[in-house]
Amino acid sequence: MSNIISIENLVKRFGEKIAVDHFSLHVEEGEILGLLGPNGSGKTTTINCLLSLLQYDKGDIQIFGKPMSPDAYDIKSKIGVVMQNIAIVDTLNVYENVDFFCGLYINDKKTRQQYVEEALEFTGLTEYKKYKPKKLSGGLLRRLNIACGIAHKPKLVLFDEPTVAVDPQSRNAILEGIRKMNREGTTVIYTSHYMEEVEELCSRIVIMDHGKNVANGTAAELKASLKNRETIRIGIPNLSDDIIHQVKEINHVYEAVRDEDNLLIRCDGGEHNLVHILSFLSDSNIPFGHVSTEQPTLNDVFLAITGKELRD
Amino acid sequence: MPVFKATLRSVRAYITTIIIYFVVFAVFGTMTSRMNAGISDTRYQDVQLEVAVIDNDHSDLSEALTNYIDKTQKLVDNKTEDPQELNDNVRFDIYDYVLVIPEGFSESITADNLEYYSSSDSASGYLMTEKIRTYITDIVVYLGSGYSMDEAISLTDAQTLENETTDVSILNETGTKQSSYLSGMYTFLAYSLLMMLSICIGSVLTYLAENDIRNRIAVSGMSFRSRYIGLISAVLVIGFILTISMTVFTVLTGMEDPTINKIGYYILNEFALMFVGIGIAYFISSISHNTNIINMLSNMLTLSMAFLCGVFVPSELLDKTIVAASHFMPLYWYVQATTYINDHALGQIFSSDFISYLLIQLLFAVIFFVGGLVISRKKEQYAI
Amino acid sequence: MFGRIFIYKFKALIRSHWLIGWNFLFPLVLATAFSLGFGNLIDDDPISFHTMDVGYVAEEDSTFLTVLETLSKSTDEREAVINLHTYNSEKNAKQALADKEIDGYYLLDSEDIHTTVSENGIVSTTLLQIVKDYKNFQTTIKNIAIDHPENLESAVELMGSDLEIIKQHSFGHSNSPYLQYFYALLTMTSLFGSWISTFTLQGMCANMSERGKRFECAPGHKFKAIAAGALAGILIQSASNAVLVIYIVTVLKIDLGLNLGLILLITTLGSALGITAGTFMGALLKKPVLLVAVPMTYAMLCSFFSGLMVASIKQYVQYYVPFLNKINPGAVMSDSLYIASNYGLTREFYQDITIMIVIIIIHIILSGVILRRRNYASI
Repeated sequence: MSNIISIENLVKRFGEKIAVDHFSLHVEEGEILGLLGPNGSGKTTTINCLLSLLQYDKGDIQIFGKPMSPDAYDIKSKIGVVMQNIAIVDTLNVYENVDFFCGLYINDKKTRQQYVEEALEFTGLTEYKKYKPKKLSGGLLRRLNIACGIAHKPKLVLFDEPTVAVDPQSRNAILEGIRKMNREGTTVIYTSHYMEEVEELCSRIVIMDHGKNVANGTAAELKASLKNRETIRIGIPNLSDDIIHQVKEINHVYEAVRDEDNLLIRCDGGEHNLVHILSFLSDSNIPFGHVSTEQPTLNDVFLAITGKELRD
Repeated sequence: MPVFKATLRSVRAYITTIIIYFVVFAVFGTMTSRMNAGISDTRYQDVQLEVAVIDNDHSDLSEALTNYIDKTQKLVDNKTEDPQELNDNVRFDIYDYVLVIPEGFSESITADNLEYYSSSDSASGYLMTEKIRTYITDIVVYLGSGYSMDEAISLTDAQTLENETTDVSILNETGTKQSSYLSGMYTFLAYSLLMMLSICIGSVLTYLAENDIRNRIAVSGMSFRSRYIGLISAVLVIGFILTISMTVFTVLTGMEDPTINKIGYYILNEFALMFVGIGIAYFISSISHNTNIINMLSNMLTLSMAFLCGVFVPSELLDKTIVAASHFMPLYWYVQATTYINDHALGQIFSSDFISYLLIQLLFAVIFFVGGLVISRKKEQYAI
Repeated sequence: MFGRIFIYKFKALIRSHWLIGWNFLFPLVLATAFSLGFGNLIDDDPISFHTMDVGYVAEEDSTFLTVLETLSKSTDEREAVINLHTYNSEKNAKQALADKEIDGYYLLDSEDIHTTVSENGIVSTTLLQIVKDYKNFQTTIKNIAIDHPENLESAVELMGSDLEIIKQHSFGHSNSPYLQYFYALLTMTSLFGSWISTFTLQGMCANMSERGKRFECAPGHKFKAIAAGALAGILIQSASNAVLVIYIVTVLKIDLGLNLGLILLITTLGSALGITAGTFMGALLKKPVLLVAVPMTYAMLCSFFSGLMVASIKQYVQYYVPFLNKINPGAVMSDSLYIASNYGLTREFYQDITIMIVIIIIHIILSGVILRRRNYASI
């Protein structure tokens, strides 16, 4: 696998404020890379620098192994962009919009026609072909925004928060579409502050905060970096300090606390923790009621790394 | 109260528009009114033309001729000797007449050497040419009858001077009806006031016509009555402020106008026009909620009316059919009322004629308002 | 790619309501208003000399009547100076004056000629001038009779002859100055193109809109794209001008004094000027509100100073600060129309055309320098 994008030590300042702070990133072919971070963490700025829309203060950006510049047309022709805000021409209808933006990349009329049709099909807009953007709902507009960005079948697509303010149905359609594109060989960079989306979609995740790359890995790897891997909650009617003390002795349990009638047990790894705990309770003839376990989320990862919630 | 305040606040967005039209009024209104202002007078006065003389001869005769023009007319700086530019200057009223005295003129006076520029066949051109022709004819006749040049000049000068006292009077019964500075200002004001009102109020009304905002206000628990009282009083306050500010400017610049005592009637008329403006604003805002289109419709409607109803071009100069058609526009009646105030003595203004002019304007305001109402209802019905 | 961008920009523009409204409809409405307002004055300028209606009341015969009778005959060169009405009493003449049947009347008694007019003005002054001339004639004769009686006969003869003293400088034909309003209107319409241009540019620059970002992410030369957009703008603007010109000439039936081809040539050049001015503005400005306000102000200000609201304003500028007329694109364009219609294709005409081309080139170069940059310090 080869590096499609390599960003080394990117620095971008807006006056006194550092928006991107020595940020490095490598994306390999075939990946869906999730760029996760709270609002204002520098995701969009990084994307704009990557696309050579923004001048940056320091750093090196290479795409497809070549340095990226405003005039690097051969690189640009292989990139698709789906902006955070809707970027279409109001006065052109759906088909014309896709054709217009696709036309900036594809010269051959026949190929373009085919690509445009495919993009419309892909985003489920075929039946809205003749509609003016004004007549489309918010979700359909987002889909049109995507169709305009991907119609030319780019090798690399940047999605900048494509699902902001989109209904669940459209969101699922969009995510499914991205997966399909990826299966067909497209490398994807996906920025979002919705961690479920990123977790579900991305093969690798980079967490950004204050312009820095604070964590990097698959969802599982990131979670594995946490001490807390599993939280088990068991309802025990006659919970005594003795029981708590004994539970703490079980392998991998590093914390056991009382929460009203419940016992909260946190484990730092290992397998079959629940089985071990439950068999201990049965063996000791301790009656227990409901049992639930919680896996850590990316939010927990983010919380652990930055000390704040992702959705601030 | 909240609707009242919000409406007033949203006018701030149109402050540039207000300033632009106010400046247009302040600059061009005063300029044209000052230019056209005359005092009705029963004493006769010769018209003095602005004449530029280009003397390339510098002889006694050419200087005497220049001197004669200087005494009877207003001599102005020609600034250029380029024939086209001289011609353009007389065509566009920079001055009325240009006389070019060629070199060697005094040696061959009757060789058709003098050349003049005037706006094609203007009456002023005819008058000035006649004056010059008479003056030079005198000189030629005297020279041909055995006088010296000096004698000819002094005789001609003496007799032209004497002729200035020719008996003339103005018929008392007709009197001259010149338009005063105030009447000029109040005529021009119609354009600016209508533009301001229709653009600002028209645009402000769109905020409240937006379905979402209207619904949000509707569910706010505020009574229909207090909402509309708030809206209407805000619109009236905006109208009053704009109307009053234009009058204040007019009064401040027109203190010396001898007809300033008629100001009350002008203001009364202006307020009638204010209601027309508000009516037009409502009408236009019912057609479109796009401020850009409101701006455009206001421009089209007001500009056209201003041209047809005698604001920019006096009604007497317009085609008869156009004047007849303009009876169906509110501005016509406003201008009529202004002329009426100007042409009548203070005590005679308050008459059934004058009142009917005001009432017709108010009627138009109502028509525009009802028109707007009908359009908004229809739009709601068909959900356009 | 050029062709496609051109076609799509063209489509996007002609579907914009505001554009059709301001650039097509508004000029037509204004032209109609001008025509209704000035149409009359173009055919018959109110300052023109018209035969004056004059009353004459006399108790006895007089040579003055002979003079008046001469003046009431039209000659080859001009219409009659006066139209003489004779009244048998002053009362009748007064009534006629009050009824506006006549502009003034002369009353002759044994002592003098009394002139009565209804108001001050050029007509009254001219009526009085007739009396002054007559009296002047008498004085001259009297003077000669005293000083050189031997020459009296020849003097009278000399006075009666048509002396060749003064003639009008003639440029051949000339059009009504009121046409300036229409030239200024064509100028305004052309300069409205600047608005089209900032609008087009908005979709092409990453620092102006999201569409612009998408546009700049695409491979392809920005200049080529901007040129395609500008060309679409010029085409639409020229079409709008053509519609306006044809409307003025065929529907309003106003003779602009120029052949259609030449007007369209000048207005197309004017459109190019407006469009490139807009490109320059778009290169400089970022705020969306300014992208509308600045072109509008520019178009209105330039056309105002070329005579849109007061026809003579351009000439006033020419009189006081002629330099301004050379750098105001509005004045230059309307001047080229004015000169071509009144004086033909003179040196000044070509000078105007050259200035327009130079301004266009300056716009292009300056916009090129600014727009060359494709990445921005902030967006």
